[in-house]
Amino acid sequence: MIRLLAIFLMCLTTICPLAAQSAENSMPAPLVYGEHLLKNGLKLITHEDHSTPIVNLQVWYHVGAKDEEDGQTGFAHLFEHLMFKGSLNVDPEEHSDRITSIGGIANAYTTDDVTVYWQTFQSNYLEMVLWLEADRLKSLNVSRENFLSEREVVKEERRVRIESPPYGDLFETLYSKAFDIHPYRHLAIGSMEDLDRANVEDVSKFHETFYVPNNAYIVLAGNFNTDQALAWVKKYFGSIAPGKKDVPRVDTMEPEHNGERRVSIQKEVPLPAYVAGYYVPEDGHPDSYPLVIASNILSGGRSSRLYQSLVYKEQIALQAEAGASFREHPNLFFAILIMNRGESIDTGEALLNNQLKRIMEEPVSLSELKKAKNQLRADYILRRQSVREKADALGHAAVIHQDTSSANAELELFLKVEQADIMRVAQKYFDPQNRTVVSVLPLNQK
Amino acid sequence: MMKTKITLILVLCATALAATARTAQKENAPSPQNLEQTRFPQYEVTTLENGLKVFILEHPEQPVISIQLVIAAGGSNDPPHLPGLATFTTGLLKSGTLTRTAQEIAESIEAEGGDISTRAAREAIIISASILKDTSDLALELMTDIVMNPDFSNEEIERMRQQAMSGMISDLTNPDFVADASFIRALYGTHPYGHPAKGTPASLKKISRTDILEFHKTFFVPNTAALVIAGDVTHQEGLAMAQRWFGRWEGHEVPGLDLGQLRPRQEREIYAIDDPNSNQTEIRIGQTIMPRKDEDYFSLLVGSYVLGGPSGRLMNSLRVQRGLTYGAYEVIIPRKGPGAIYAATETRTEKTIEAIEIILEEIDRLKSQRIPEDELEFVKAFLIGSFPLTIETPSDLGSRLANLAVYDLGFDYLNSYRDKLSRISAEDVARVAKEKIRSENVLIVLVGNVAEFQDELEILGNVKTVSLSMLDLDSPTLD
Repeated sequence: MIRLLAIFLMCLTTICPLAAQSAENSMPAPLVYGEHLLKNGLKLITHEDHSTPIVNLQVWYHVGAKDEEDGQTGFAHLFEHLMFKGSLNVDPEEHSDRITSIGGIANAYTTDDVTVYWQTFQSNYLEMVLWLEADRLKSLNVSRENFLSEREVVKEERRVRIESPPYGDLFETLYSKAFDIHPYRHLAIGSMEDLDRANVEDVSKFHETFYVPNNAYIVLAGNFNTDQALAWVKKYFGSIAPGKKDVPRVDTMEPEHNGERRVSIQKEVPLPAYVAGYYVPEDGHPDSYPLVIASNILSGGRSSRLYQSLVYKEQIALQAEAGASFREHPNLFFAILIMNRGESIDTGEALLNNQLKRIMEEPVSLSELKKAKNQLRADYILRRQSVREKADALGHAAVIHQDTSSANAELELFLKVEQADIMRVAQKYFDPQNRTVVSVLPLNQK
Repeated sequence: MMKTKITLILVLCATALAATARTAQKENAPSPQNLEQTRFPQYEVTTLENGLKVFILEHPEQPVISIQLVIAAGGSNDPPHLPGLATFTTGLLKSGTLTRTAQEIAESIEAEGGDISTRAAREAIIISASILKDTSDLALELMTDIVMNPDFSNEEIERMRQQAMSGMISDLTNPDFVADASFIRALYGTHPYGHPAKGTPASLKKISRTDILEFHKTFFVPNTAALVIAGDVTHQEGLAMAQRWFGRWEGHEVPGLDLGQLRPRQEREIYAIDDPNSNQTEIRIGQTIMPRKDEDYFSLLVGSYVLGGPSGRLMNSLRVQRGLTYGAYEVIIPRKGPGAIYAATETRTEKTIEAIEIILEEIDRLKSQRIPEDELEFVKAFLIGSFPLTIETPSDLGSRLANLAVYDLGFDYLNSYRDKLSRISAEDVARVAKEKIRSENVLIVLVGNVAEFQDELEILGNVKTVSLSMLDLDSPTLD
């Protein structure tokens, strides 16, 4: 077996090393990758890992829910479903069936910013899977019947995720109130009304606009030979023409809001719930690094501030968590509370406000800062063990940051964060005037 | 007399590729390269003096170690009047020991970027850590402390009780949870596999410190437990760790559990749990089956994947062809005693009856018609071909060994089971399906807006309606 580990001894800027047994001694080895650009604009990112005879292959299209036009919410995600419904040389469902028949797992997901198709499978089938992906990029062919049927599946998905679970629509409400203009105001699942309005004629237009090689990134991690993989990619994808026009990009900026927004709803829920969304900058912005450290200190594990205060000591909340949803454009940092039965949201909010105020006004302790950094450093190893996780990290860097090297470089930025940085970003972003709040009360509670 | 020699030519469809008929001008998919069969990596098992079985697997790919301690007890060991005791006790392990408070435990492990998790399943309690190699001593120190010296203070018990009650209130409004818990309860009745593993509002109120101490003392012993260490550790190192931290753990005999026979259902029973506000129905349809180690289990497993695996018949009929659902599966639950299989799906209210009828038809088809060769090979190819995906990380490897330990599958199982699977024939599946699969006297559990389909439902069998707000999971008949 090949040892990928390179051990670095690091002296952190602020603290003396403690006992020899410590997470400080394990620095993650950087992900070694190759990058290749085809003439038609397609990018290939490769990471060889020969430890298990499998491969994770991802195709990222730089289109997501935010690229949808008004009245067409949910289309990017519906389109993702349709990509499994047949192309010139591949029958409907055949893509999934082929992956299953070789013992693989295939799936896809749509976010606000990207649509990702991924599969993990035995590595000797790499050529076949590249051929499958090229075929649907090149020649997607969805019948009206399959369109209508899959639209019903997506509507069912909406019911399963948003309409049935007790707090399913909490974030839909939050986003619709937090954003006036920016398309982040709607979720990727879309509205039932817009889904009903979608028709099969929209499919080819969406395909021509966004599903073009110059808008696509192939990420490959696992047991393969880079030269061979590149040769196959050129063979199957090289002849696909780039899009006729530039890919349209959303440049809407959400205007600054004047003051806090609050919504209170009463509905059939078992326990009171509360979510506060604070506006934060985009993924990769310099402030995002101290914000992640702040969220670890507030909410990383049972020793974190919110858990200790609201869940453990005061025992008013079943759950109290915080963290940012960093996206390509400025999005939200959330604090979420599910209150214990009989506890009031006002009490929860007051304690939450105290914690946020504290992090704005007092420097975090050195031990908390060190803990957060140790957690991140450990995550860079523990959460990059599988080929899928490695490909996720590379894809995210390449597409969202437009800089694959950030998959390795970001750790350094986290480790450089100091107490003063955390205080600064807390003051800048955790102002109650900078937030949207949604409270949901059970029907029988005041 | 003329003898006619008839030569039977058996045409076996191409294995591994589920190709549907194609027109002449379509391109063919590229063929695969050759690949050697993957073996499960070597591992060693050593039994310590106190009876603890230690599994060690070297996998130095990353500086990571996965440690899983598997206690041979779980929800099935709850006293009949105290469902949820195993889960409750397990949840309290990290809440304090004789020398450490809950905060100190959390702080120590989290400061190093690590995490220890505790989980009670029906037949095993697993305490695990997936950590950097450098943190392994600390993790083991904490794991042994919480397992051997938990404090179970009254304060922490009350804290846990309140959290569990709130959690339960929330769960009982989630249709997916309610459908699963109700199905299991109605299926198994008063059998140890039947009660809700997380407890009920009534039982959560009753659990006492005495109960918890008793459960812990009885079941948390080394002689029925397994310790699985996989990752950046040599056999020598792993054994030294096990001996150092777990060597002094004392054991004793553990009472057995009667997992007895369950009387098979004599007729179809339908429980309709009424949630008038919903616009979807959760559907569960199934039965009990043989124990995990039964020689027919694999044939049934293959059959269940034909019915409800990825690209299976349920997905195809319900989702692909008719757009009735987001997902339709056949779930198989392995158990030391009688296991279970059931179809699980959801659909919009107005399609409830249609979905149920399709599922019943598919179950009947599996029972009464021989599976076509290509479909059989497709499922076997998935079950065999997915093996390398399940052995990638120390945590994956450790989990496979933990499972082996729980069900006592044998040292060589992880390298021999694929051969066994490959030899299963359509006849095997047909025989087992005919003998063991039921299509008439199944249990059906629904959670949804019952008024909208009650009349049609009554044509399908004996219906018992329970209002969601009155659902009583303490009762084997849900009311």
